[in-house]
Amino acid sequence: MVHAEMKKLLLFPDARQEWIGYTLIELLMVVVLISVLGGTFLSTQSSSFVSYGKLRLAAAELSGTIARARDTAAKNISVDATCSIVQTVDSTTTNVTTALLPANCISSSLLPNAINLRDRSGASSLVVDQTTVFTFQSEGMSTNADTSLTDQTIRLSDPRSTTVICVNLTIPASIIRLGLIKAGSTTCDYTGK
Amino acid sequence: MKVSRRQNCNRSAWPSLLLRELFKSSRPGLRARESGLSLIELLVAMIISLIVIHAMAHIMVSELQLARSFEEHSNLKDATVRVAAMMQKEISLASDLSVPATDPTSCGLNDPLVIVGPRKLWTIVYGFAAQNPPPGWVGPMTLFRCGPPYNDQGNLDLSKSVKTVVVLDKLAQVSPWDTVINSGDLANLSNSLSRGIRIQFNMQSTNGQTKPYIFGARSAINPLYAFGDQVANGSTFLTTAPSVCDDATATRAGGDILNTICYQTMTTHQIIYNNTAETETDKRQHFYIAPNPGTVSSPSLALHCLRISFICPTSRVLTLFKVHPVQLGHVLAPVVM
Repeated sequence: MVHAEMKKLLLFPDARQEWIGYTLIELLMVVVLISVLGGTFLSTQSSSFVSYGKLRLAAAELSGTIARARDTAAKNISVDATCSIVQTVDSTTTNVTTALLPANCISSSLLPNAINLRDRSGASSLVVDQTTVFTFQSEGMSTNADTSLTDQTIRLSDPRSTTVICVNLTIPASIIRLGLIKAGSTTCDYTGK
Repeated sequence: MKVSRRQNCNRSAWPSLLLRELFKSSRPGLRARESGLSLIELLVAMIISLIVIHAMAHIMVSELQLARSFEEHSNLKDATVRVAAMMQKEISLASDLSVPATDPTSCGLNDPLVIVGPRKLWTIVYGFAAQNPPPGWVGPMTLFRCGPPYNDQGNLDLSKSVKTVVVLDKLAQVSPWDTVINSGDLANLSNSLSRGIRIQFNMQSTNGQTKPYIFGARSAINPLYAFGDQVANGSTFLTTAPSVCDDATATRAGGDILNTICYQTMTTHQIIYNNTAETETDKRQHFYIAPNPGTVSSPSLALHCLRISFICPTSRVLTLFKVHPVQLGHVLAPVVM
């Protein structure tokens, strides 16, 4: 109907005298039509968007928990103390738990609470690629029994999303980096480009 | 049809009425028959809407950019704090540091900061490699650390070979080593204090802005007063007390003692002796003897006598002495073995 009106107006200028403009009903029909088309398009994309958002939330929760354990070690473990904060990320349950080694070498109330990444992020199908143990010493430095390691990386993914987010902890400086695995690549990119 | 349109607009379409009122002065002839919106009116409404939407989008994008910039600066600061803490710890354990023109180790880093542990047991070099940035890191410059790795107890694992790893990226400059305190030739009398350094990291964000992060670090000891270093360097300690240090309150031959300041530290160590664990006491007494015009050419120099006694429970006592000229006014940091 709108198209006919426009055609009439453009092709037959004389008809202008007869044309009286668009009614609200016509406008609403156009708006509804556009909304239906847009909604259809967005619904095809929303699943991916939501999954990516939840992945980002899971990555933020994980990096935040790692940072809290690291900062607790930096503030509360003296240089000459034999004390470690050990944080475990379980790939099966997606639980992140924090413990002291030896037990009670500092107050355990200082440690970050245990969290479940799936519950925190709402990503019920969240996948953690491998169980990983982070160890923090005095000054918040991260260490590992395997002294050849220069960093530790956890990859978070969701079957409903093509995106893979990497949470990386450098050894020994304990810098936490977030990155992505881009399409066609198998390595994490932390450059933010 | 026309009647129904008119009725519809008159009763419920107040936006149409509003626009019509806005345009009624420019189109007086159509007013009587008009019951909808013309193309011009729609276009004007669209333009106004686009302007409003553009303004709102601009505000939203600005907010997002601000949040991203804040997060980036926070991450940069977090990274520099971590590296600063690590360097401060390593320097505090060291007995010497220097900024030579070339890397004296096999690490081969450019613009090196060389940190040497007591008795030269370990050496850690911070500097820059030829490849900047390496894969996975962001330039313009990346700072490397070359040295022994840490074991899972948080101690330097000297049994492992040195490793070169990136510790910090997004550095805007080389040579962040700003000011080195008390470095250089050990024969220089002004180098009788513990070593210190001021470091400035100019961090560069993605929008090209640089922000400086400055911190200082200081070693607890220096090669002149670290007994282990003296031994490693050939030992200039004496097993018998020099006459000038025999009695700090006595009058020396050739001049009067103007001032004497004593400073003592006492620490204990666990040692193994004859397969038995013992607690050894390390007592260090410092005597500062003021200038003797007759024997010291520079009036600003004094003599520092250091008497180290290693005392064990089984009455074994080892006492060593050292005499060294120092500048007056120096405050000696607590000596740690």
